[in-house]
Amino acid sequence: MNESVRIRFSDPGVRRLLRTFILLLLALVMIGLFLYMRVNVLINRYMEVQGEKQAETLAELTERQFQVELTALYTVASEITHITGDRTSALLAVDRADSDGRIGVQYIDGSPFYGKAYSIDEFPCIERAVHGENAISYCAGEGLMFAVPAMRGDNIAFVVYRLFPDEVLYQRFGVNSYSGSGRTRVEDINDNVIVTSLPPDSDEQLIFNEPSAARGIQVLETTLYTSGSAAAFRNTSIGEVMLYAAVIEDSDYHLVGYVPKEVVMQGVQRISLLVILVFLVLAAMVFFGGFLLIGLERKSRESDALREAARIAEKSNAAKSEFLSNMSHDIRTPMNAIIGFTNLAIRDPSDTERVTEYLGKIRSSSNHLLSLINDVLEMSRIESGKIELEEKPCSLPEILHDLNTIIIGQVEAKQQELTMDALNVVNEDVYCDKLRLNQVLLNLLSNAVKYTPAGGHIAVRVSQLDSGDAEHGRYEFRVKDNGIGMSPEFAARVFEAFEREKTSTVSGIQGTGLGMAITKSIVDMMGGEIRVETEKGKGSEFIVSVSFRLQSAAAPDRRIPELAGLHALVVDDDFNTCDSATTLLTQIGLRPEWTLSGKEAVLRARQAHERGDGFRVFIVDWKLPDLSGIEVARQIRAAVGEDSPILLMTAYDWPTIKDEAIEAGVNGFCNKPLFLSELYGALTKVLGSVEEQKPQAEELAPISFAGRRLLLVDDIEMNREIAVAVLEMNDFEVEEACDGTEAVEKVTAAEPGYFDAVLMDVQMPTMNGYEATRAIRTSGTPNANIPIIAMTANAFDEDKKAALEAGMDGHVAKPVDVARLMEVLGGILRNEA
Amino acid sequence: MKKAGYVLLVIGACLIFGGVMILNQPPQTIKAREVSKIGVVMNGSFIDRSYTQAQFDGLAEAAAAFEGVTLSCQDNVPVNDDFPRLVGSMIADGCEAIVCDNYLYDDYLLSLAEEYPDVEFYNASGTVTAENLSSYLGRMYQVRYLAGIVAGAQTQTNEIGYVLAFLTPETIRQLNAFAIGVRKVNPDAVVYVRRTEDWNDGEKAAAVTTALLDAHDIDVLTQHVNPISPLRVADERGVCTIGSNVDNRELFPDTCLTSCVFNWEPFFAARIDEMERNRSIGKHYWEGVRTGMVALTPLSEAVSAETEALVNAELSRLLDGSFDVFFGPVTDASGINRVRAGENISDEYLLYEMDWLVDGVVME
Repeated sequence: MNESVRIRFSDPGVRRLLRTFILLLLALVMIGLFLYMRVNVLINRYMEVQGEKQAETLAELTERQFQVELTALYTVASEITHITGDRTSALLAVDRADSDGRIGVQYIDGSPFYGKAYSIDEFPCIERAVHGENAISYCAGEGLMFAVPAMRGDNIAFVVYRLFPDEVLYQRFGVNSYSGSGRTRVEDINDNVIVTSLPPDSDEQLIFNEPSAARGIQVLETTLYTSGSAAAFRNTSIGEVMLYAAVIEDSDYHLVGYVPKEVVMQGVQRISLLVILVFLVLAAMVFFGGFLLIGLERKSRESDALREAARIAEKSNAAKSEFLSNMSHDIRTPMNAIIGFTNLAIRDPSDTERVTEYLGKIRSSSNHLLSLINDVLEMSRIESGKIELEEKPCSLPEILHDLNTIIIGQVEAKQQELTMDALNVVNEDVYCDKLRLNQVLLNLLSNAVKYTPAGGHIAVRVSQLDSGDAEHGRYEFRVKDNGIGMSPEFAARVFEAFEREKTSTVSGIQGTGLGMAITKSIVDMMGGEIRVETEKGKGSEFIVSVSFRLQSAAAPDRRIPELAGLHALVVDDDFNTCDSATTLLTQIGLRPEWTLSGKEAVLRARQAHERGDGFRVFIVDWKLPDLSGIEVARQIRAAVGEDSPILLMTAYDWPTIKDEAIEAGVNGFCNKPLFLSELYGALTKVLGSVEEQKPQAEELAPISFAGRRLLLVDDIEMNREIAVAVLEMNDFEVEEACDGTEAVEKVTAAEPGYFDAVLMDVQMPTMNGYEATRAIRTSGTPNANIPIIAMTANAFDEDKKAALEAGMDGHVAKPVDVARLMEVLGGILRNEA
Repeated sequence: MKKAGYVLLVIGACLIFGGVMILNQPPQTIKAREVSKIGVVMNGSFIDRSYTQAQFDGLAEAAAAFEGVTLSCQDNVPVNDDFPRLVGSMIADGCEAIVCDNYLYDDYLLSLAEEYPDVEFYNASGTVTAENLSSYLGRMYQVRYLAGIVAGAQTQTNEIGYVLAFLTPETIRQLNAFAIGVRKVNPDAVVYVRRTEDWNDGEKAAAVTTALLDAHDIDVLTQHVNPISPLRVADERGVCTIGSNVDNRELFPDTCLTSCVFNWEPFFAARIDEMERNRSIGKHYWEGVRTGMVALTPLSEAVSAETEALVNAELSRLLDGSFDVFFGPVTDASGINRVRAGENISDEYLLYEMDWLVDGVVME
């Protein structure tokens, strides 16, 4: 559980996750940027609002300072008014007390009383004081004047002023903001500078005059008089500053100022940084969280996969156990028979009749056991994927005819009827594994024979379906019987290993139970499908659909021009055969008709001939219900003369009936199932009056093995004993070797011709058969090319191939089939002779 | 399909990014306020040839000097709840300023000023101010003083008539100023005063004037009401008149001596300029001859050169600030010295509290 999860980037699942993850990261970055900018903007705005408030405070401060001044002056004024004594000295005292400003008193008509008299043009505040108001005004060059009326009752008696010259203004009234980092100045309504917070010509004050700052202040002033205060950040020569402004209440003045951004943002900047930091941390968490998720996902998927694998393994184990238990039962049964009958035979070997009977039973049990073991091995090899299909060029007609040949014996033995036909087979030549296909079809056929009672009917049909693909053909093989059928429950499980109808033991039908499983596996390997339609008591039909690669996409043109448009007559008691035959004849260019009855055929042939519109070609089935095919042929020949060729169709072998047929007037033969190429071939040959020569099976002279010497190589003594006995029974002389090395020694040491052949077991310790063969072949001795036949418990194609590749000349399977061994030996030694 | 999804995602991201950038733009620099529409809501009539018309003409003249400034006008607006509704609709219509002409609108204007902080309100003769509400008036008393000099110099009978609407600080101080002027040149002349109890009723004014003229041997008449009917009545009787608000000399060519007029144009021009520079402050304006808000029209030929010289001399004293009408000593009608020599009456008092008449005024 704790093993590290390796993330493989080739895994599409991981890639998808990674993609989503990267997108998420991108989104996060975008959000982060947005957040950052927004935070900055919000902070800036907040700081500006703070700046406004600060400006207001400063303005208030200034106002209060002014107010204080005015109030003080007013007090002085009222005192002066009410002094009865020497006003002048009192005023002097006041003046001295505050040396920043100069006190002055003048009459309402403007004439001086104390100090300099100023005109109302210079200082409008004097006029306002004359009218009873406290007022302030500024005169450039003179300074800032505070003027108050000196009241006597409701009336104004004097104007008392205090004038602060320019030089003292910044000290007296300048306000510094932000603990001295900010600079301010007071301006009047026409933006004339009145009070500054520093000496007016200091650099820091001059900042106000910079274009950027001035512009910024202008912007502030556009809203200043409506909102009362304003602030904004602005870039200047000393960096970014916050400009602020506020009106000074009860006056025409306003205050403007600036403060460097850093001062303002000090603590606040940290907030921004904090936000960023938190965000980064979150992003990092998401990032790593993502990785973790991926890892977890993989782990969970892996554990899911593991769980699934465990489940499958368990299921497979269960299946294996079941399989084994079934198999062991199935193996034990024949073994029991063998052991039992052997014991019985040993008890009384002299009772030859009984012993022969027992031996027969032992043999059949042995064979059954052998086929079971072969099936099991086959099954296991298929399941472990060790089997590969060998696609070779095959001819479907040939396959079906071979099938016919193989199964016909069993069919006849049970007095059953077998019909084969082909439907719409346009492409007859394909690439397929002929051996496996045969295996499948043969299995189905033998089951059909097995599970159909005597007298039953088995039909085989091969048809070609539209594949939609020019390179491949889709074929369907149907094996139908009218036997005992299957129950629906069994039909669902028929393709599983060891499935047999529950009643099999009752009906006594033997089988390994693996046949259908193997068949299905092979069909699956071919990429096809197999299914069954069945009804209990009525019969079953197995349907195999499979695609084969075509040898040539083009459908060959099988038209016979001379027969174009001419009539043909098909006679067969099977409607399907008539159907396919007429279809094929039409493809050839004829105009076919058909009949199920032989008598009718004869009648129609005669009538047509008398009409003058006779049938040009006759295709007659050999086995007809009312009249035999040959008899029909005879009668038709009698009716229509010699011109029209008659072909005899048969599912069986010709040689037996050939002579009789020819004598009856038959011109040619064709095998069922009818394939276009074959029908075409038969017709052309007949028209060409070329008698078809069926290749004769070679008459083989029996060979005598007397005087032949073999070297038998096998590491197991018992095997050697049996083999030697069999060989000596067939007049061979036998020498033995226990393993490969001994064999190589003996062969290479022997004189040429001493041994006629070597029977080499393959599985041996020290040096196996293949190695020994190779050693012999490359020995360079005169016996190097001695015929070597492999004997092996492995009966599979690969082994045969391996044997041939090692340099061997033949192959027999163990347990040795004597007839087969003799055949192989005969074949090899005959060539040697 | 997946590719399309990615493209969409990228586009969406760009859109969001762009939107964010735009949203976060610092606010654009704001232009100084552009004045395009001024609403004029007046109690009187624009064609009363008097106070209201003077206002209107002055404003129109001032507005004409500024490019793109239009007036949206409504006169004869009574002082009731219709007033704020009308003002509201004008503001909704786009007026950046509202000009009114009656102190009776004061209360409405206070609440309107609060409701529309971005609109500047100006109320002639108003008494209240706010951040965006200004009240303004001219120191007509200064001109009344000069007119008094003319009247005092002109009268032969030493009986001068004065028709006014109500006794308010405004009318009292103008009356007092007039009387001070009269007494300055003619210590024997008496000013007989009668009230019409109405600012705008012309017939009433005419009736009162008639009664006044019947009661006394008045040969110079002046008035402080909006209608000019008193002047007409006087003119019919051959009594010299001094008009107010508007120069109506062409109506009374024989009898009109001069008129005390307002000259609103400079004031309004200054206010519009302030508005455009976004420098409007709400305060109380009370300007006199120094800024030209009030003036005496050119004297008629009936007035002697001596008198004219005197008038001019007094005017220059007013102009240079060395003198104002109520500089002491001032004695009231009952003989009490109200203002000592060297003293001045405060504006506050003049505006809101003056309730006594000076020596030489006879209230009837």
